[in-house]
Amino acid sequence: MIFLFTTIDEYCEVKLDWHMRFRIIKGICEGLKYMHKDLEEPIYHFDLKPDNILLDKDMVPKIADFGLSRIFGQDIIRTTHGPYGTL
Amino acid sequence: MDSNHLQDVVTTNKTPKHFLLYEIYNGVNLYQILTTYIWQGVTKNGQDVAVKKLKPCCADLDNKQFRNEFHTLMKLNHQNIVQILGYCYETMKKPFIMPDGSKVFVDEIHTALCFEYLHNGSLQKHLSGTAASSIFSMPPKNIVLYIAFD
Repeated sequence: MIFLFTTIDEYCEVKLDWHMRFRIIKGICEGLKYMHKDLEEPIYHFDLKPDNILLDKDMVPKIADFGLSRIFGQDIIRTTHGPYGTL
Repeated sequence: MDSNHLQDVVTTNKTPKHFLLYEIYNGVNLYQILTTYIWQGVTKNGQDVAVKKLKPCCADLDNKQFRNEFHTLMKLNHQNIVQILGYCYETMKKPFIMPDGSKVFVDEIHTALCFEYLHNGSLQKHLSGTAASSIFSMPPKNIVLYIAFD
């Protein structure tokens, strides 16, 4: 048996309670719905991860870093052959 | 165009305009590196902005990434998507000495995107490291992890 001692820093700027987490998730979903459904030509982000979700001073989430995103027209079918995004 | 051009773009918050490289430097005081290419800056009227400078490069990849990001962001206008305030796309001639000693000029493309600055950083920052303790609403204290091997 191995004992591993970890110290958690007391420093924490904004406390992420469950209500705030829900608001963040809902905000991201609304942003994605806008990109996927509400636009004439849907845009897919292709690199969505917590690093690319930015929070403003009111903790409203904003999707950022569209470097890998691609625009899909209604009548064009495209397939991704190579690995996109970062792991 | 004077250096107030960028300031005007940021202040009026309208369609992003093209501005020149020196305007990025003169119009915004870049004072802190956030990541490798993203800088935090403040305009002359005190608004915080984030400036993403892609590596000056002749290669196609960065250029393509910039165009991709710019054209995508131009189409998007939503409260949950980061807003673009301005951009820069400038070609500079850079002297280059060939192996045979002759001088040529190489086109170096400088690109930058100017965004609204978001004060609370990325979600990753809140989910990992020190702030992650709040997931379980635990008081900050020492914890013990037991790893048992059968």
